Amino acid sequence: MRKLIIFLLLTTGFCIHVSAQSEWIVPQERKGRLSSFEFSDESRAKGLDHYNKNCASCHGQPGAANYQNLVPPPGDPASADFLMNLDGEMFYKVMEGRDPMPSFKSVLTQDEIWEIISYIRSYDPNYVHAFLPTAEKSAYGGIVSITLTHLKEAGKIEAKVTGVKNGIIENIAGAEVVLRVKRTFGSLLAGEPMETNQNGIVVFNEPSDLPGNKDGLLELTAQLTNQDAYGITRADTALAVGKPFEAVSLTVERAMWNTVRKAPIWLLITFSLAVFLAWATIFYILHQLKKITDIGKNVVEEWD
Amino acid sequence: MAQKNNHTTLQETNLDNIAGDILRPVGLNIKFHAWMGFLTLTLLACLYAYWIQFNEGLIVTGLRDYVSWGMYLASFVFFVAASLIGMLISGVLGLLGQDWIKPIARIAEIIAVAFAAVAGLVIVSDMGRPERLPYVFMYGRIQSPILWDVTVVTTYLVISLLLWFIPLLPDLAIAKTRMHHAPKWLSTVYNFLSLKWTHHPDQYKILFRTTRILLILVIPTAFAIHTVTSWLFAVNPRAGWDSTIFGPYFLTGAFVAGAAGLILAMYFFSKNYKLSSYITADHFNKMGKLLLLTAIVYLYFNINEFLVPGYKLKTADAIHLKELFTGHYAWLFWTVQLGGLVIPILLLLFKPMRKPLPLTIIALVVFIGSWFKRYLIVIPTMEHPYLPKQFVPAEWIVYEPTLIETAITIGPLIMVLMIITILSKLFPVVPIWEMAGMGEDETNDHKKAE
Repeated sequence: MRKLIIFLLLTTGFCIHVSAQSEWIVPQERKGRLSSFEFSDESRAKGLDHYNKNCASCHGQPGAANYQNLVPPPGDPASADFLMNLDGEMFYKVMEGRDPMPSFKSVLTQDEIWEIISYIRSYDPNYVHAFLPTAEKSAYGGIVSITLTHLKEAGKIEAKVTGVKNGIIENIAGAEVVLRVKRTFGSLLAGEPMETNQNGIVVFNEPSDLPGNKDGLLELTAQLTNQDAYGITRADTALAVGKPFEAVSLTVERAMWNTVRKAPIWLLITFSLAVFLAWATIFYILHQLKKITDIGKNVVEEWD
Repeated sequence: MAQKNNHTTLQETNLDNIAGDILRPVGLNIKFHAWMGFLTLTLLACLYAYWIQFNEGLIVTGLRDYVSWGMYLASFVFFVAASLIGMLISGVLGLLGQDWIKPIARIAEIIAVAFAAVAGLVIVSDMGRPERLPYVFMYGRIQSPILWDVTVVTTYLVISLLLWFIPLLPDLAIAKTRMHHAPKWLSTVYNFLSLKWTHHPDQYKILFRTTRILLILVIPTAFAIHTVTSWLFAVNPRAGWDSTIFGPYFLTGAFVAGAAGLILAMYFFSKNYKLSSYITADHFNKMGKLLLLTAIVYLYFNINEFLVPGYKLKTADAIHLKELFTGHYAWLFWTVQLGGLVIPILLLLFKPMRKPLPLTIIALVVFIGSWFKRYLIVIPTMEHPYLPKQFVPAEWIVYEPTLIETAITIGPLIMVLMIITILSKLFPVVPIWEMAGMGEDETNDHKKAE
């Protein structure tokens, strides 16, 4: 009986998995989301750049249908299947991903995803662009700021979120803040996103186990997740909280891939020795040829 | 005393006959001029093709970003391969005491010298900016197999040249005194090159000792030149090249190509130079067996080279093998593998097939097959780079050699034929003194001393 239940669960799971591949459901409330800025030539150019770095390896060039041969097929972003998506649906899909498409939530910022969408939309002749009017962007008219403070003693990072309403600075409570650390490729979440308290404050632990630069410096970004409510607000800082790490250049020491001046010693010795032995022998032979000539000369002289 | 005199007289008559036979074809005649004229005209046409490439760049060839080596490199590998026969015959068989190789050893060395001398030029033809050739030496890296290759090919050429030249000394002395019909300049050349050879026992002693040292030295050098040539490919992690047995695979392949080339030369000289009493049916039989042996060993390496990756079918290997077995190159691949290796092996098992004419025909097929085998080693791999093939012009993906490229590929082969022609027409191709048994006392002394 138990085996049967497990079997049924597994098969159901499998069927759901398969059907999920054929249909990608976007939550109703996320579908209508709009970009917070107007698409422009600038946003499309940036979008193309992000697209080539993050999307082209699987999706190919839009309109060329040269996407990778994968299961399920990644598809061409300029095809009707893609363009029939609302902006909000596209945004959700890029943000969240699904197997095997990765989530870009922590790789690209939301603005960058919107820039990619603006680029994709340039392949859509029927597209009518809509974006959030400035007034709707924020409860505080977009004048929201985050102040980061490093609490060295406690090993914490404090973010204080304030907004300006009717000329007065207010602490914003209940706003979700996310702290990210810049890495070589994309960024990494430093802990879970957290909501501000009554004083508009949220406290993160220092990401102390991450390798920083040679002084241990990490580039941190705090951002409000609810852009619709507060607009695009972020604060950047660099703190010496990481582990000092200096990457040793691969061309410092002697190696096979280095220049000739930094060739491995064993190779220099082996090569030179082999060449020396071979050519010393050759010169010995040439010397012997001279001996042959000398013998010949003497014989001729004796005959004379 | 009387006996000794008798013996000497016998030897003298013997030498007269042998020298007469072997020296008869030596010298410049109308056939030589016609043949060299033909070669020169063909070479000029090839050089004109190179002139076009030199001025306009490699764009006149079928080479593009993906396939950047093409026929030139296939030809280079073939040239290095063919030159290895000098080592196999004189070095390996000579040191094993196989006396039957004596009349054909010099021909093997001529082939070695000719192919090794021209191999370097083949590389230059693949260079888009040949005037930057000195950079190889100015900025060359000791870590690069290309530098190792340049070094060992040069060394092998010098050793082969000495292995051709030193045993030629007694013959030069013999030719100097016996070729009365030779033009004056040729006599001067003989006189100069013979290094005052007087058949003195001490001279023979030096000759035997130096040749022996060179025969020992030529074996590791020859192994090195073709192993390093294989490393030019095998140090790349690419499907079809990424193999740990590429060294021996190339080496055994080289012996097949070289043995076939030597049989062709033997047939030509025995018929054309009327030397069939020196290069006998027995020599052909033995060379047939040698070709059979090398071909079987090479087949064994081929099975390894295709079966092991074919069993694992790693993605890139799978694409590569599919191209060879059933894809774009299937026709060429199976023709070369079956026609150039399997069928010759089956035929050579039978003695009648090792008679001069049938053996020569088989050797010709094997020799041509060997060239195409190198084509199959170089090009299909280059057509499948690991880079994503996006936004790439179609002409990059499939390599098609152009006419100009073909002419430039033929050029070095003409040069090889010219070198072989000059060396075999100005100097005896069969060692007269060894055939006449001269210097034998010294060899025996030498052997006893060991």
